[in-house]
Formats: sequence, structure tokens, C-alpha cells
Amino acid sequence: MRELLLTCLLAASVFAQTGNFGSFTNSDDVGAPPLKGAAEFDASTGQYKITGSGADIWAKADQFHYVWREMSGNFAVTTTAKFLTEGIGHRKAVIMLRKSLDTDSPFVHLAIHGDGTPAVQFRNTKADNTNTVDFPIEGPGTWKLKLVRQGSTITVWLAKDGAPLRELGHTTNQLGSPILVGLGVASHTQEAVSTVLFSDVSLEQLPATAGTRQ
Amino acid sequence: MKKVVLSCVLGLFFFSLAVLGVIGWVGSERALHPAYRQYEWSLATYPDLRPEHIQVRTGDKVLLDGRFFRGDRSSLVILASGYGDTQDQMLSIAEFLHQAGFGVLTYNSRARVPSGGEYVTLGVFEQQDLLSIVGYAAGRTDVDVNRIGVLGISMGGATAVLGAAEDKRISAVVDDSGFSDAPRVIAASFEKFIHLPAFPFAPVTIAIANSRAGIDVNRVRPMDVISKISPRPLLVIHETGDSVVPVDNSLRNFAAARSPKELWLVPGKEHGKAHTVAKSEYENRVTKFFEAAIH
Repeated sequence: MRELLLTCLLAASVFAQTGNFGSFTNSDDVGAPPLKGAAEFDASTGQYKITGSGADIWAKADQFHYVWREMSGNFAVTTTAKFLTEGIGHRKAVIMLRKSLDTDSPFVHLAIHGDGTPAVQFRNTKADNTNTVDFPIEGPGTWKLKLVRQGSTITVWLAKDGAPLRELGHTTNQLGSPILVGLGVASHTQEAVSTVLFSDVSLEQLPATAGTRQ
Repeated sequence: MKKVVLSCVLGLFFFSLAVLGVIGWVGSERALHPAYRQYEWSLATYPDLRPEHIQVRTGDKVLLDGRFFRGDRSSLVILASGYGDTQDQMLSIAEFLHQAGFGVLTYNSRARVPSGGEYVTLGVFEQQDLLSIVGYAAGRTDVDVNRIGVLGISMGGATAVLGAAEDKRISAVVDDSGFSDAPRVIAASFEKFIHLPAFPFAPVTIAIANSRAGIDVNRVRPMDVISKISPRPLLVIHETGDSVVPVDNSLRNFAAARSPKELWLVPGKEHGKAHTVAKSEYENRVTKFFEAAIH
């Protein structure tokens, strides 16, 4: 019986954390960074404190901590993100759409870097390189991020320090449905972690777009 | 009375045609022989840059004048200058790349003395100049032919894209403030460059310039070939407030390009001055880009 219990505990530690993650269902590291990440959800405030390590979400393979749920069709994701820890300028807090938990999975995300560089980054096919659109640096702050998927179009908005949201632009992708939708943190180094406080998180399922299939 | 009116109308028509033709000719002269841009710096401003003077003959027998700055490594970055510019435009970029250990090659494209050639052609012949320079560099024993990158500004950016689409020896491209297609950028910047109203003078000027230089500038469309650069890496840079070559050009190029591609939007209002307005970030990004691509 003790062996069975031990086996169950070990199995539980190997697989993704499942528990109370508010709007999301799971939390886990992607790409097995040496320093483990974690996520805490405070139901009373609706805030997520996500700690992530990992080399980056970049090139042909990713390392970061991810909190996600599965979604299909059209939807909108909004959050406010604030870095709680110092670190490398290129550390990232992201709203991410991801095909799978594979380290080289296709993805699209709206990222805010630690130095205040907003970016839309994407990997179109499995094991492909990552592409990026880096917007002008606005400096560190508290960021409101919004990402909307309608059909194959993804539109992103951004605002700093309480300013009104402004549209940054849009891109297209063929991630399809269902996909993993969530929040991620990467420290841009395997030797340290970054912690980001995500608040005012909302996931909104939007009506199907006429004539679109996902 | 009818004959007098007819004569007046015909006279006015031919006079207008003649005026249009003369102004179109003057416009084409300015387009094909743009004024030399003046810089606040020269090679003497960069004492650490000690060039080897080079001359390269193109396939159509134009002699290009350039400078080769030997690097600590055999990887090379060729720098292509903009419309109306000379290789001196690229000195500040040559400096930081050379400090990072890269070999650097700058050159005057045709019709920029002391290089030969008669006309500046907005990329039509300039891409041949670039490919001749690549051929020259590939033949040097101190250059690794598998580690040649190109960075171009404005027309140089367009030239870099056009050249890399043709020549696989170019392993990485930085397109700084380049245009997506010549017709659109000519229409947008005609008054700025030629100092004449775009209509009706632009089409006439372009037709005359095409005829004089034996080119079809309307076919210079980097956005149509930029996808051929993949899987070699591409970095596109543009100032968001550029009024000469609007940022839309780079957005179109980026959209048409394939992976791996990076677009960096710089908060500037000038044209081709990203290195000036965001110096350390520019140097950091470009150096890292070439280190990853052709180290």
C-alpha cells in the first residue's frame, strides 16, 4: 500500500500541476528548465504569481513556465503583468497560444520583456525558428496586455501604467483548434528565475466568425 | 475664327507637352544623378578603421571602389549604402561590427565616384553591384564564403534583399529602412527627392529615366522575392515615423518574408537613422544577429 501511495505521489510530481488555477487548468514547465517554475493562484484577488526559469522562448525550442487551459474557436485574453523580480532585460511575460507542450511546438504570443520591449513572436511550424516583431522599448512598468483570436487573425493590444489600451497590430496563423491558451514566464537564463504577477486576468470565448473553421 | 481657335488649342497642347517633357527630363536627371549626401564624419573620424582599398569590376564592366576592413574572424559583413549616399554613410556601422571582430566591406555603388557607372537606378543595377562585391569577397582567402552577411540602409536595404534572393552565398540579411516596391516608394517620396509634384511629373519622369538608363524601375519589388531568403535569417529594421520610406514598406516586406525573420520597429521619425536614434540597442541587436548567423 505504501509503495502504491509512493508511486502515485511520484507520478503526480512528474506530470503537470493540476489544481485551482482560476481561469486555467494546468501549470507546468515547458522544455525542462533546471530550475523548476511554479504558479500560485489567489482566488480572493484573482491574481496569479508565476515563477519561471528557462533559457528563453526563442529559436527552435523553448524553456519557460506555462499556466494554460485548452480552448477552441475565437477568444480574447486580457491580463495585467508586473515583474516582481529583477533580472535580464530579455526576460519575458507572455500571453501565449500554443499547439502543444512540446518544447518546439508552434506558438504565438504577445510578450512584454523585462526592459519594456513589447513583442509579438511566433513559430509557425514544429521545430521551426521563432520570428519576432519587436516594438519600441517603453521601459519597465506595469503592463496591460490583450490578445484576441478571431479566425486565423490574432490582434494584440498594449498599455503601460494604466494608460488606455492601444492596438499594436495583428498577425495571422494556422494554429487551429483546440490549442493551449495561457500565461508564461521565462527568465532568459537557466540560472535564475523570474516572478511575474498577473492580475485582472480574463478569458472570453467569442462568437464564431462566419465562414471560419478552426 | 475656327482655325485660330484650333491653332491655339494645338499650340497649347504641344507647349504643355514640351514643358512636361523638359520637366520630366530634369526630374529624371535628378533621379538618375542624385546629389551627394554630405556627412559630418569621414574615414579620418574612425582612426581604428584601417582599410585596404579595393576595386571590383562588375559583370557589365563598371569599376566599383571600396574598402575592406579585415576582421579578427573570417566572417564578413558587406554594407550597402542608400540612395544618394556613399560608403562613408556606413562608417559608424562598420566601426561597431569591426570592433565585434567581423570583417567589413563597404563600397560605392555605381554612379557614386570614384566608382564608375552612369546612373543610380534604385536597385536595378545596384543589386548587380552587390553580387559582384559578394563574388569578390568570396574569392578572398581571409573570408569564409559560408559566413557572408549583408546590411543595407534604404536603397541598400532593398538591394540587400534583392541580392540575397539571387545569391545563396549571402547567409544573413539586415534590411534597414528598405522599401517594398519601387513604384510605391517613388510615388511616396517623389516630391522629397525630385522636388516636383508627383502628378503629373512622376510617371513622365520615371518613363524618361527608364528610357535613358535602359531599365524598368517598376520591376524593383523586394517584397516579391524576399521569401527566397529563407531559411537564411533576416532582420528588418525601420523607424516607425519614417516619412521618406514609410514603415509600411517594412511591414509588407516582413509579412512576405519567411522564417526565420525579425522585425524591429524603432521609435524615430527620420529615414535610415535607426543607428543614430537607438545606437546601443542597434549595435547590440545587429551584432547578436550576425554573431548567431555567420559567427
